[in-house]
Parts: sequence; structure tokens; C-alpha cells
Amino acid sequence: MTLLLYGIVRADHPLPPGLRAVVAGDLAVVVSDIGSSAELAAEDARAHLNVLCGLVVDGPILPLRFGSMAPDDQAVRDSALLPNAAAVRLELDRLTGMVEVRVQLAFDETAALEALADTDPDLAQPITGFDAAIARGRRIADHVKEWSRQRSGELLGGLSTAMVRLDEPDDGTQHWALLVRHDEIHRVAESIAAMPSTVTATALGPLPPYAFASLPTRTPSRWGFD
Amino acid sequence: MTSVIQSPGASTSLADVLNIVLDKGIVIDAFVRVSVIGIELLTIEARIVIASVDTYIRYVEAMQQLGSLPRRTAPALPAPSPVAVYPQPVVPPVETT
Repeated sequence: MTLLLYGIVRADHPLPPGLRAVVAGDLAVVVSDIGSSAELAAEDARAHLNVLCGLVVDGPILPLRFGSMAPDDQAVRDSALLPNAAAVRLELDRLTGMVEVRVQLAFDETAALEALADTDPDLAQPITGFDAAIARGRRIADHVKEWSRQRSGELLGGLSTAMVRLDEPDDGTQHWALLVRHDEIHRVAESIAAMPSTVTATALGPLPPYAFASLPTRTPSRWGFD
Repeated sequence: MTSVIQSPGASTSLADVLNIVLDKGIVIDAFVRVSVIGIELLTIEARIVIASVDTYIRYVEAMQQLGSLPRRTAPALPAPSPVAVYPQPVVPPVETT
């Protein structure tokens, strides 16, 4: 029997059918029994996320890495709950009532490019050669990123308790994770809908707090015990 | 009225799901982590590089148009794709006049 692990919750967290809790005191790990099959496919990632999204609306959850497995209940208690209990309780308390919302912002960069053409007219001069064009394009992209980052901070700053920049692809879009109160998610949605027309915002949520939940990493004892 | 915040679910693209889930979440050393089969991460990364080059060229051409035209009549950039996800759609290069 192998257990597939989803996340750490409080022991009284309601669970949907198909899942069960491995409980130790006031804490629990949500698991499912998967027999002996130890292979996961991309679609299992969707199932994993669906489980966590279903759980987070009923209370705080610390998401575990997708694909984490344990041989039996006792291993789950010994490794996930007992050594970290105090830290887990703190994290669950901190994240109570909170959910993650991911926001992608795509800007109309014309304003950024115009400002750049004013401050650095050389960048607007004709250029020949593929490598030179790529090098210049990268420089421009760096400026656009900086500008987009600043604009994102202005637009998203007031919406959340905490925010983390996740990713900054070269196309100028900005990806952020916001930690927001679940009961205020509509207010956040309204603020996103009210953004100026020069920015295209898409948002996904409520998600488990992937970008905000953490436990202190324990340095394993060299001798195998603490 | 639908909220501008999309709920995660069946309509979420697999690329978005993987972006959220893969290599994220708390790691507990004692637990085995099985690898996930069927995910072509290399393909995704290659597409990101191609999209970057495409963006660089787009910026350079847009800047040159800004430099060669009187300000205020500068052409607008082609609209960025509204949702930038992996894999990214290929944006056709800007046509220069």
C-alpha cells in the first residue's frame, strides 16, 4: 500500500470522498491510497490541484509537493507531523481564511517604448545583423520588464496581504501570486476588473497558498538522529 | 456576471496546472517523490526561448518605427496576447512599412 500525499491540514478539516486524513493530535495529512502504482502522469497533476483547491476553501492547507508518497500512515506521522508540529500550527494559523490568487498582467508597452526612445534614442536607430538585433531587443526587453514590474506594483500593491512575483517572461507580461482573504476575493476581482484598459489582466483562484506556505528546513543530523 | 478571477478547474489549461503544481509545495525529505511521466518540459522551455527571440525582434522593430516617425503618430504595438501561458502562441512579426 502506498499513500499519495496532498497537504497538511487541521485534524477537523472536512474531506471529500476518496480522501482520508492521517491524524496526529490536532494536525493531519490528507492522503489517498493508490495501491502500488508509483507512476504519475500529467493529468494526475490536475487531479492533485483539484483536490487542494477543493480543500483550501474549507480551511487552511499547506500544500505538499506533487508526487510525494509515503509507505504507510506511521511514516506520514513520523515525518510530516510530529517533527514539525509547532511550525505547522503557526503556518496554518497564519494562513487561516487566506487563499492564493495568481494574476497575469500584460501591458500595452507603447508608453514604455516611447519613454525609452526619449531617454535612449540610440535604441531607435536602424540596426543590421541578427545578433545585434537580438542583443538590442534584449536590452529593450530589460527596460520594458523594469517598467512593467513597477506598474504591477502600483496596480496590485493594495490588493493583498502579501504578494510574490513568480515569473517574468521576456514578453513583458508579469506573473504574481497574491495572498488574499477568501471572503474578500470579490473585492480583489472588482479591483482587477477596474484596471485601466492599457493592461490586460487574467486571474486564477482561489488556489492553495503555494507561494506563501513554507516550513523551516531542518538540517538532518549527520548521525541520523536529532 | 462572471468574476474576472477564473476558478481553477476543467477549463484551466494543463500548462497552467503544471506551472502551479510542478516543483512547488512543501518538500518533506523523508517522502519519496515519484517522477511525473509524460511531461515534455524541454519542449516547453524551447518554446519559451523562441517566444523570447520573437519578442526581442518585435521590440526592436517597434522602437525603430518610433525613431523614424514623428512622435504622437507612432504606431501602436501589436496587442500582446492576453494570456501569456506556456506554450506560447507564435506572434507574427511586426510588418514594417
